[in-house]
Amino acid sequence: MTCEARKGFLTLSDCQNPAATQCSNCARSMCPAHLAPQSGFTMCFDCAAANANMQPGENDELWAHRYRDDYRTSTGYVPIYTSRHHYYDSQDTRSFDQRGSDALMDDDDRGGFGDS
Amino acid sequence: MSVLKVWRSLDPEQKQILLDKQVNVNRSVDEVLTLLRPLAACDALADKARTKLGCSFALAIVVTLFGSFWIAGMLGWTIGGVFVLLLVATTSVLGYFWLWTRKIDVSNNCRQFLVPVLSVFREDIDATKPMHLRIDLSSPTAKTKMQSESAPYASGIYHKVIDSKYLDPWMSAEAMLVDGTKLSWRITDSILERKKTKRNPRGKYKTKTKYKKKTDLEVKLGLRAKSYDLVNVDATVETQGKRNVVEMERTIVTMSLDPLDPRALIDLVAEVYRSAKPAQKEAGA
Repeated sequence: MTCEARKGFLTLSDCQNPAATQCSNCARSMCPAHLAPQSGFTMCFDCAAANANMQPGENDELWAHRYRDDYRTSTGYVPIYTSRHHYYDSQDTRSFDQRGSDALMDDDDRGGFGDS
Repeated sequence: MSVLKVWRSLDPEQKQILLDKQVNVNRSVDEVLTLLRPLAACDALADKARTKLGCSFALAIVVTLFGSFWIAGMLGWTIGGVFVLLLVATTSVLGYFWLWTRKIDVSNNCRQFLVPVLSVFREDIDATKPMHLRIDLSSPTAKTKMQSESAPYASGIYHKVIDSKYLDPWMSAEAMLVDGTKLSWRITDSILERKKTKRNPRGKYKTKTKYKKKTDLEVKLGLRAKSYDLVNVDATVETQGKRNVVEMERTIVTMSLDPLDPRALIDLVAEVYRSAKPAQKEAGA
């Protein structure tokens, strides 16, 4: 099992390190590097950053995750997701941008699966 | 934790940086952060300690000057002399530490701009490749950075005004990102310092110093053409080999010497990525 954390601010990619445990909040597999020390290494940084009770240190990893989340929420910045894990959240919509086609925006009249 | 404890925990290279105020390294982003985070912590503590030490030192000088005569008058010069010596020693120690905290003071650009920026971009920067970082942490109004100084002139109620201009190219960095993009940035501050002196109705001379800082932020991103297409970029785009090179500039004017908000650089880089779409593969490729 590999770590399901997504790394990065400008672009997102998978961590791919061997997982050691699961996040107690989102149940994703995590490597030790992606568990927040402030949670006693039980929560991933994404969940810890969203938890107001977690206090980050000065410019530490939790601070950086929270900054990234706040930045994306306040500016609407959506990073490109370059990998292929099945876990998506509201910041992952650009991972659906297909190379060579804009499949979601394809709106011809031919119908097909998913069209109503 | 006291500033002395943090200072003792620094390695010789970090101590030398605090004294020289220059960083010029080619290292991975994690190593750069390992180098700079303790410096930022030490600088924050030194800033706090310096204010307290400065006030205590000033108070100690006054107490020593006036207290010595009072103590000598009360106890005589023989016994009182011991107390006076103690006062002088205390004042000297306070003065020494105050000067020392001034000596190890570095620009707040380190802890309020550079460390936050590198922390946010840490996972975007390729950790297996060295990034180049050059940063000048000395005072932006150091004598060596002065470009020109005007002759004194009068303006309104101020009978003497002196304008000094400083140029401080305090930072440049180059890094390879995990997606193969080359990122570089350069920051230059142009500072106008205006010292205005007036004579108030009681005949006292008062001098005010005001600053105007213009920060030029230049960012260059070389995105791999096979990875990204650029659409609606509001910047100069040039194709160089296998890369589309985007150059952006921003000028930020402030009326103080406060550090640049990390957001200025983050916004500029994010703006380019907003315009990037995964490259469309050619038919048959």
